[in-house]
Amino acid sequence: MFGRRKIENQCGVPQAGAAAPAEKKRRFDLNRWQRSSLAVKPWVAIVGTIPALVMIVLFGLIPAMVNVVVSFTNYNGLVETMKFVGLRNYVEFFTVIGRDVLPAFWTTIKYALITVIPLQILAIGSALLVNNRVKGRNFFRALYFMPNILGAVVVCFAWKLIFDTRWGPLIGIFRAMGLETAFLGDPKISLLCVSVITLWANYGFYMTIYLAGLTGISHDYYEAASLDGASGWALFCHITFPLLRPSLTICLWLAISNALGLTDVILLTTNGEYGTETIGFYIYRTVMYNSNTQGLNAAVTIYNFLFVSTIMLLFNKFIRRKEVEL
Amino acid sequence: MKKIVAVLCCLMMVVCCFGAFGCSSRDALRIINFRPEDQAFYDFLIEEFKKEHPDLKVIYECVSTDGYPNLQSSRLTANQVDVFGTEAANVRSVELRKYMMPLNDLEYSDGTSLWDKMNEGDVSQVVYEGDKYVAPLGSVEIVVYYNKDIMEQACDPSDFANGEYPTTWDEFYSLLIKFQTLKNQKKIDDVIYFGGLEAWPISMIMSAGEIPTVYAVDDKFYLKLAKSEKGYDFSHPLYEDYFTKIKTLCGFIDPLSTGQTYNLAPSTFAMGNSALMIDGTWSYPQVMGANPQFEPGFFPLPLNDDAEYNKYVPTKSGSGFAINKNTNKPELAKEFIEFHYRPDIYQKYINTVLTSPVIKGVEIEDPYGYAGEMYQFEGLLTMENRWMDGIAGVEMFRDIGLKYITSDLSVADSIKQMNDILQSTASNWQRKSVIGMWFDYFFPGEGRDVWAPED
Repeated sequence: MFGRRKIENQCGVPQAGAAAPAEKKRRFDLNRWQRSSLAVKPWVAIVGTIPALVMIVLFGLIPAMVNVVVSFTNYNGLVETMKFVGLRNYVEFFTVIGRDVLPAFWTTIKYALITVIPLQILAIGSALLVNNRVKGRNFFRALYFMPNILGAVVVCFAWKLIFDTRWGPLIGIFRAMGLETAFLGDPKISLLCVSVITLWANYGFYMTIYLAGLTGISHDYYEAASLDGASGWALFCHITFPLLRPSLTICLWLAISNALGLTDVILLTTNGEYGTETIGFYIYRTVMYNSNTQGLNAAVTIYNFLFVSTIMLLFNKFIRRKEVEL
Repeated sequence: MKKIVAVLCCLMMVVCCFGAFGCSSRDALRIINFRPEDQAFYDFLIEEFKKEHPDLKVIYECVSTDGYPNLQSSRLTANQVDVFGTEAANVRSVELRKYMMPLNDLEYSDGTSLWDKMNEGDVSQVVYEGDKYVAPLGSVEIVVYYNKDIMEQACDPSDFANGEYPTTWDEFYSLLIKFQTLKNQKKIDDVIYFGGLEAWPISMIMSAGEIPTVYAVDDKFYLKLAKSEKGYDFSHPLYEDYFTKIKTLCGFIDPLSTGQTYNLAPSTFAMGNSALMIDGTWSYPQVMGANPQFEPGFFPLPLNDDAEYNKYVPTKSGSGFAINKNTNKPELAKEFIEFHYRPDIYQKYINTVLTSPVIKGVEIEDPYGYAGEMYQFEGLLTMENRWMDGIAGVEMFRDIGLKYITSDLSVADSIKQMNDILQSTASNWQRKSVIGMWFDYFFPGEGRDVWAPED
């Protein structure tokens, strides 16, 4: 990479008699780089990562460890009365609060099932559209990504108005079709409405990942396949989709982990009512509003950690097997 | 040179990370609050306060009521606040009280104790073990708003026993039927307007119904329930009556109303197409602000067959201020709160927010003219404010109320749900400390009669 380059013709054959140009002093000569630059000095790398490490330890690792310790106590907000209770909180998870927590787990799984796959379909579809060389494609790329930068509060506020059964536009459309529903306030479809909100808000983000993946697919594959008579759907199934597998892995991973931790949209729309209480929201609600049982709340977070870890590990195993097959 | 630049950049990053924790605000008086609709008043208050403290910087942050617990919790934990808005009920929260400074020595403008100037009922809500922790600013009630025009369309108000509004369950039920007839004839949009998307508004209906059917009839009911006296659980006839009537009432609420956001409820009611709305008196300014020509009426929710128990409304301290125990400016924080109670300032607050005053002798100067009518009823503490930490069940009331609107939950199933929760959480609330705390709070000076097992 940093060695000398021979003068070659376009076919790579050195030309006889061609005088080699005077060797330029390389700006990034390896020896000088090693001697004077900071980039490869180990201590510089360590110092550069210290702020991030401090943040991770202070705001991630230490709170997590404290949470584990608290889950074995009867902490109720007062350190003075805190005492070790062994596995009592872990047992009470099933005997006392199973009624509330287990439905929350099930709601989380339902939400993940109705959101993750449609999100990928929407994102891939949008990426395919904006990947075409048409006039204004940059405008459309920005337009599709815009919901992602609005923020959860703005998005949820707007959709609450859209879903409002007195003033929203949707209820009029539904009534014209002879249907009536309370949308976010209807336990039968409220989770679906929440899913619509998150789909709309997040598909732009996943679209950019797929777009990057599409941009990396060489046109030679499409040309070769076209010569063989493939077109449209066949090209997508046999070339585009397989070569998008790395992007799909990333997007699925992100979508599943986000779905399993959904809290903000629930908080801003239904407040966990009408069958929309996910495990993330349940933990938020009990920590914020039930200060008497913080030890039990900590045990619930540990169970949630195990739940999410199990799903992600299974997902990783499944994806690796598919990649090996590919 | 490059080494020096790199090290300086790293150091700056570290300093910024830790230096950004509000050190620039350490010398300012930091106040947080909820109810952004009162922002205009607090802008005025702070301007007036700064006239007496020209060099003082005051940082006042206000967020919506929904998002306030997060802000409060994070600022208190990080010790980034001096004065914080809070409700009186939070005095009984272990988690919050540990951050509150006792305010026993607050003074009124004439040098006397501020607490002597307040109504006893409002003071009692902010006392814990003899210390006062929150300075209440006003009290609020939950009433039934009614549209006088629609009432006259439906019936002749002189038919009621008091000549104005229903005072018994039979009168009220007949009125609801008449409103329903008007709705079926498409002359009105709603019998009872309800913005239930955020779910918590159902608590107002549940609370307003519990007073006349349970608490007004037997004010020791919950103590007997906590002591597991025979027959005292949620299958008691009082509770059966309460659930039955609430279920009937909820039958007149449009099921689609759970898709309507509460924030739009007062202004929608003010448009004049809804007969009734069960809401707090805090919505009155929004109703009249949306339609100054609107003519509202008010009455307590009459769920009891006996008019004697239907004269009460649920009430509680609306909001107040507490001082962070760890503040480095306790005297300034106290001065700010005392400034809030100066006669001219406090009168302006009452006239702006239109809440019931806590200071004796202060009257609301209501530009719309209906506040006197709204605050004429006798108040009893709301159910949620009587519900002690650790006692199971308050959240279940909300779930049950919503299910009465959206599904066919029966009264029997509601009772069973409540009793199941009570039993399953007994280890939390059947503790001497919790029951004793409750007993002392509601029956101070009567001496404890506690039987519960040891903690």
